[in-house]
Amino acid sequence: MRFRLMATYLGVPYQAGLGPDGTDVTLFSPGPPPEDLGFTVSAGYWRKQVGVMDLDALWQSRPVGEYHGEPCLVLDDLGARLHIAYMGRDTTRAIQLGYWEIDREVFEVVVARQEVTGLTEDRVDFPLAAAIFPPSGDAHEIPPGPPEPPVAHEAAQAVSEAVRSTGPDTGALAPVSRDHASRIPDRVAAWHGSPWPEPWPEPEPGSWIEPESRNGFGPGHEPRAWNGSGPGHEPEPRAEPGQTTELAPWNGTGPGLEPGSWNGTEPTVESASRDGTGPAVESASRDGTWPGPEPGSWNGLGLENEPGQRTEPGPGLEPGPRNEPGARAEPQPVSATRESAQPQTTLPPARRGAGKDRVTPQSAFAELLGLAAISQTSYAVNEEVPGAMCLVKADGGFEVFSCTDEARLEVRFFEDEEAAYFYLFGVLAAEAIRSGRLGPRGSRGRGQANGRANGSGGIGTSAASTQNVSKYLHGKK
Amino acid sequence: MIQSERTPAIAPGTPMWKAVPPRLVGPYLSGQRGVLAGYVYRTQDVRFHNPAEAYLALGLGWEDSEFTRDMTELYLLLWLARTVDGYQRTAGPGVPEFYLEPIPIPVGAGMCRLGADGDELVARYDGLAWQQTEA
Repeated sequence: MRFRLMATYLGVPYQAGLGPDGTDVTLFSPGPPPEDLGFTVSAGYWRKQVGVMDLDALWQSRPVGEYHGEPCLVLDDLGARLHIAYMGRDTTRAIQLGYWEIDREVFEVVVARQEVTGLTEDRVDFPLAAAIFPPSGDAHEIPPGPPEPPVAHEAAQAVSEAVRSTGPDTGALAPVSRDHASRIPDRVAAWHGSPWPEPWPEPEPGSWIEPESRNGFGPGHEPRAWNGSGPGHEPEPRAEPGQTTELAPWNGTGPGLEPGSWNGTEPTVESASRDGTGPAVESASRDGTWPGPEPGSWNGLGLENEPGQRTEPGPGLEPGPRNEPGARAEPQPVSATRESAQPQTTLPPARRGAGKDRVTPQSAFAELLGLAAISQTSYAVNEEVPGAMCLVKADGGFEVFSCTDEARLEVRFFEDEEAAYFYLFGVLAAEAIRSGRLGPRGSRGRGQANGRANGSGGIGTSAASTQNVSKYLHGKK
Repeated sequence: MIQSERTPAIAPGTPMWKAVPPRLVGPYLSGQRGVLAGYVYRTQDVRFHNPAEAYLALGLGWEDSEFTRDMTELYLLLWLARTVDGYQRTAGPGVPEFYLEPIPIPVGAGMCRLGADGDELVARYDGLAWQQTEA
């Protein structure tokens, strides 16, 4: 259940995106549709660009409900939590309700699922003609008005040209940047904590950030991302099946969302769509037959706390301290000392290649830290150290966060210890990559476009990324 | 089922852009945030050459805004409007503003970095993820 655009093409519903051309829509499939439909696969998902007017229908799937008695739009379904948006513009009221103003008069929050009542999935149908604009170069010509700003023109023109000249699956993009490596924001991984190596065996050339949710296949790929594509690591022997399942809520998708889940059961989906009931589509997704190529959850790995975790769904509507999203998690008692954590980093490295022996999260973490030459001052386990990324036990799980003197930022909750450790390592590794301490080996140097020594795309290639993750985490105001 | 007939406040195909709050740049580029929402502008209506000018031109100084006048860089989302987007013209003098309820990011949308030295397109949205532009 998530907010998205859908299209029915030849009787089958697909997640869709308008564009790239003014008359086109791009269909996405998590698994291989029948070959004769002409979908092309790229980075683990299938897509096809068709004319809007060739669609059977185009609609928005709008999961809606009520939060504290007022309507909300569900932007993302994170499993036990929902990422919702306030469907109004009353700032005072929105804040009273507990929303975060993530942008001017844009109010969102992640809440426990049970806090949202009356969940339904509206289907808002669009006339096909309303989804297009003329395909000619004149289509985006600016209506009469002030002269186009000179600076605005370059990028806008580039977008327009890129939109028209390049299909989304070609990998070729508008050559605009002279030194785009230096332009990559240095805060990508910091926000969502997803610096994982790319989870797909054959990354798409040109791909930039590679979120775990890029292909929407969810947690099934996450373990492979960690264990299969890290620099110099043999695949980590995965834990018991139950642990894989525990990872599922990380990005809000169920465990069945594998590429191969397109199992020929689209008639179920089809029947669901033809009666116009959005929820039927959703129910189809739940059994794994129509996972829906989720284009990436807002929270991804750190889904519990974006943009502002409401850890205590109390009835009171008084706004809490206006702080950084993610900082609202209630502090948990910390009993252990830093010293108690350090031994974890000194454990003998586990032999990943051994495969059969189950390594503990701590030992795997320690090994990874050693391999990545992560500074011990950059993290703390079972202790809150300002300026460090911290992992502490919490009620029912573990929390990972960036610690400041005043607050915990970007708090992420994990039921699974292993997930917490790997997440922490991912954040630390991303920071190390950015700072240049950790980089790809061999010929892939910094600043190289789309460097993929570990398949993680350009995160580590930013020549300008000398600022650390914490800067972003602490960067508000 | 709801049939949507939206009155276009903006001509289809009009280039639009929106300043991305710093804290959202990451979620956007990582693919974790897939919607556009909030105040947006036609590119034709706003004129700026650097983040400081953009700060003023785009009214980024609202209460609790994390934009600052002295930002060294600013990220802008650019896309081409469609009727289905449902732009709402907001009242008030000055630069025309449009409020946009959440919409999925259109395929082909661009992410532009505006720095002191000008702007450039750094990534383009392929419908599921942002693709870095080639140098």
